Amino acid sequence: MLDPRPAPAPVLSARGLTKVYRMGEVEVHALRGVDLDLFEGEFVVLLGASGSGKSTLLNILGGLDQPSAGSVLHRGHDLTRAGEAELTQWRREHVGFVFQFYNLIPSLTARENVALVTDISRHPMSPDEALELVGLSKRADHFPAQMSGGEQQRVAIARAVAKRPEVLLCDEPTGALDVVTGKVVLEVLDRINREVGTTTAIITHNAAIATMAHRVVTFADGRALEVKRNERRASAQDLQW
Amino acid sequence: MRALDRKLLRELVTMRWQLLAIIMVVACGVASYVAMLSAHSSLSRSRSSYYADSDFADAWASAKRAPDSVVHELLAIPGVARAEPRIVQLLTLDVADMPEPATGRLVSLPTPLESGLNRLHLRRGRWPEPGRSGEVLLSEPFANIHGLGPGDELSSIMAGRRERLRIVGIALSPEYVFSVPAGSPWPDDKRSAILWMDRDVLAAAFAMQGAFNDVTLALGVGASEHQVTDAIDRVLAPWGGLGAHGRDLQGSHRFLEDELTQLRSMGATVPTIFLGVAAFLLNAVLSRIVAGQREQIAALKALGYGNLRIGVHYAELALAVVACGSVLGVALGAWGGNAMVDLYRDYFRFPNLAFGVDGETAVTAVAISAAAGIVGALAAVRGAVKLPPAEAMRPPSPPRYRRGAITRTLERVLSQPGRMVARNLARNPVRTLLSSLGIAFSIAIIISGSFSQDALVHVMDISFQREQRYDVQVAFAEALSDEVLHELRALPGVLDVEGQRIAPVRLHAGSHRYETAIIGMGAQPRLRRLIGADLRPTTVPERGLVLTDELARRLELRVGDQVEVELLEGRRRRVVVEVAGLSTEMLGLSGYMRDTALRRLLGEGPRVTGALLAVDPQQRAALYLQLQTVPAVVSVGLRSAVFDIFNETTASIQTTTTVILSLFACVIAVGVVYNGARITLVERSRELATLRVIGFTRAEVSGILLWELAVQLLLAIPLGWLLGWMLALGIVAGVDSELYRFPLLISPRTYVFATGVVSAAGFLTALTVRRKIDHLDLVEVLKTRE
Ligand SMILES: Nc1ncnc2c1ncn2[C@@H]1O[C@H](COP(=O)(O)OP(=O)(O)OP(=O)(O)O)[C@@H](O)[C@H]1O
Ligand SMILES: [Mg+2]
Repeated sequence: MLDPRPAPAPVLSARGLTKVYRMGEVEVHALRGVDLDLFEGEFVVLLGASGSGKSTLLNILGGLDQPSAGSVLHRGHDLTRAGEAELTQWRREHVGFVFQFYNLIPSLTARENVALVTDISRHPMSPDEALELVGLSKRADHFPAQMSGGEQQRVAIARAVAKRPEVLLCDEPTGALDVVTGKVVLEVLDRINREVGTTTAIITHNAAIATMAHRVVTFADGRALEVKRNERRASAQDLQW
Repeated sequence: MRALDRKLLRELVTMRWQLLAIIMVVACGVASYVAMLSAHSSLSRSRSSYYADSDFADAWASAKRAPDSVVHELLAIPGVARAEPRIVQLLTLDVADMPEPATGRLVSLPTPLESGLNRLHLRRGRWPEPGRSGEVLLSEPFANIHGLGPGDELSSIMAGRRERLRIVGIALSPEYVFSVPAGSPWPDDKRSAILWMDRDVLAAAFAMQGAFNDVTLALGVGASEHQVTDAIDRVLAPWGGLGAHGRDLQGSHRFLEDELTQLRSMGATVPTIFLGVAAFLLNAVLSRIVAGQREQIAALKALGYGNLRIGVHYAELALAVVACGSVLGVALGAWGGNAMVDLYRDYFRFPNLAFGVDGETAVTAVAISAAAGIVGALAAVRGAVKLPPAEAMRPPSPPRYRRGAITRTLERVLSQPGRMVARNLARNPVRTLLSSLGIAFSIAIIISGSFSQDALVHVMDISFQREQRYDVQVAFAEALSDEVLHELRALPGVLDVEGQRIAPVRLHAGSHRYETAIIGMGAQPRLRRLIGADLRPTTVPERGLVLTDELARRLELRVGDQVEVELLEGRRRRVVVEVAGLSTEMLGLSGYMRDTALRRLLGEGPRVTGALLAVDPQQRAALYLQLQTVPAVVSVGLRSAVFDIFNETTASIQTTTTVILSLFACVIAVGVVYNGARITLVERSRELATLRVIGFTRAEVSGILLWELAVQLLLAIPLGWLLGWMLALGIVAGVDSELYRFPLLISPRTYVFATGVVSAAGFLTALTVRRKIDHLDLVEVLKTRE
């Protein structure tokens, strides 16, 4: 199976990102100068020990947080200098998030949680279409509290992809899931990446998942230590963990 | 429908009980404001249009007897636009359905009949035929109480002869919206009648042909009332003038004004406080609800919703609550206001008295609530969107618990759950304080809404138990030799007699002047005593003037100061007198002197203008019959009547108002306590569920929350008492009545009542919270995140 070569133009590129959290006397260096490019249609996995700064990086890339120094360019446009309104626009139009803790709105059903996004984006799928994509059509009218963790995570993915984002950023999408469910979720992400061509970045602790990626970036202590390119991408079904 | 709107609707449904409680708080705040201010504006609007329609006079003056030609002199005074002379005579009336005689005020009619100032409103019957004797119009309130109408007759002693007066019509006059009987501080529709009669007939009966003894005047635009009344006094002085005055001293107007002022100050202060408290609570509650959605707000932001859209979303939540509360509040307010105006309808004799909700008031109340709600919601939204979404979305990091000196001491004596309670309260002192403040405010407004009852009880006690101990008060047409007291002593059933010399005066102190009367009394009066600051009877000093404490305050006088007394009788002398003492009084503002000292001041012998009688209750009827045959007696007043009137009018209106306000206050209190507990429950449900999961019993878990509520309530009680006292102080300061005092007096009963209502609300809330915790779906609570 031949992978299409990633296009040379990066969708997102981070340069010299640092993030320092100050808590009274103590300074926590979450990022210590990270350079990273995400290319069009690419599937990237971020690996690394707990506390190594993966979530911090992803949040900054998505415009949810501001770096202490460094810049994030979206097709050459500097996001770190964007204002509140521009960042909102960026998130609304271009980025899909899947959060580690799902962050569904508890008072809305699965379909309505997806509609939350389709209501405000320009060329969305219908919420049902998005739920179909994650195999949850039958649970469309259920509330988050009536669903399992994996189902909630799939709703979160449906919500993220429904706007047909340019970039999909997922923070441990399978962290709370069993093997079978985890595979289902990953399949969904993989399919979207292949079919829609969405640039996808996934954080995980599971090295096995890394075999699905075009590229694997390993984090340690706030730095991107190593970048490994997979010559062959494994499919989700073949994953072992 | 958009997903965000659906979220709103669904949350409105889920939180319905909690929101209903807030809606009730808003509704009660709005309702009390709308009711009181609309009642006030309806009454004062009706009065204004009545005054305007009937050409209510601006000034009044009376004299012993002035020739008609003097009117030209009065009209020549700059500022006087119209002057209408008339004859006014007091007389006692025999009424079939009442043992005691009523006081009648016979007033001459103008010619032509339907003209002039203070135009009468003929309600039934016809006008008296000019020149036909014995025909009168009767004032409607008196007629209604005694079931009198055209065709009925009254009997009276007129100028020494028993006369029959035939009622031909029933009328209302703007001058006698309240008819205040002579010698009484209080209007009394039952015992005080106004009779209008043809002028020539009246003049013939009282030998007043070609003369008048009373005049009403209209002033031109921009005329100075003081200058005009001074000029009138100069004109009438040779004719036995008794001092001209403006509307402020006109009996009916003064009372009406006092009632309206009262209503406005009570009606503006208390409901404003209610509305303010409701707004504060709405603000606090909404901001807590919104703050509880911090993570949802962050998620919305992450999904690309802008701050504005999120702000609008929560403002809609606030507006939904405020809108429901406002509609309910304005409706309740209209109901309450109408009920109040109904009370006044029997009491304020206006030809038309219609209640209308004051639009501006309603809009103000709604706007204040809306602003408070939206500001509360948006402040919380601002707090939530200020954080980068990445941070806000993370489950809130475990709160930092500090162990201060107090908690450390507590910890030694507390069990593990007890420690959790103490640390939770100490962890967020601001919120603990705000919750307690909310509860404290509910206690405070119940106190401020109900303490006026205590004040009234005090007023009654001072006035009718300590001060006034007579049964019957009689007034004479003029000052008589005190020989007349022997005559009275000899009447059947009279146990004790005390003469009174009442001298009308104007007091001057610095820039202040005040028209009142000085009452001359013996050293140790028994039937009308002076009460000292210690609430015990005091002796009347041999020389100098004793003033009602409130009058001294208004005139800025202290014991030992000099005050100038202008005697309004006779030659209108001015004398400087020392203030020798103060008397604690709840009704009226007067001066008192030893009878001997007053005689020296007036330059006369032992004379009396009236007397107080203690009467054997068995022989009352006989006494009343006899009193009417004493020609000198022009009016007979009963202490019990004054008491009843005070009780039935002022006190009953106060009571009704109090009941309505207390009701609203209780609803607000319940709303606050309930909401506080419900929000705490939502905020803490995960923690409590976790405790259940690790093995705590239901009782232990609900114990934690209930103890927190209990501690907040305990903190709130003393704070609420203090706030209640302060609110009451504000209300008392706002009341400015010449007729009665409104002392700052809060009985322990009121404190207990307020505390009881709020504690009961707390208890009931605790029960529902307990039930909620018992039914806490552990799995569901724990599943929604992670
Ligand atoms: N709001 C914050 N305040 C202070 N320190 C923070 C904050 N958020 C993150 N950190 C710190 O920054 C560092 C990187 O955190 P980050 O969440 O990016 O790690 P991570 O690689 O995603 O870890 P995990 O795999 O456990 O999710 C950690 O040491 C963390 O303690
Ligand atoms: Mg992480």
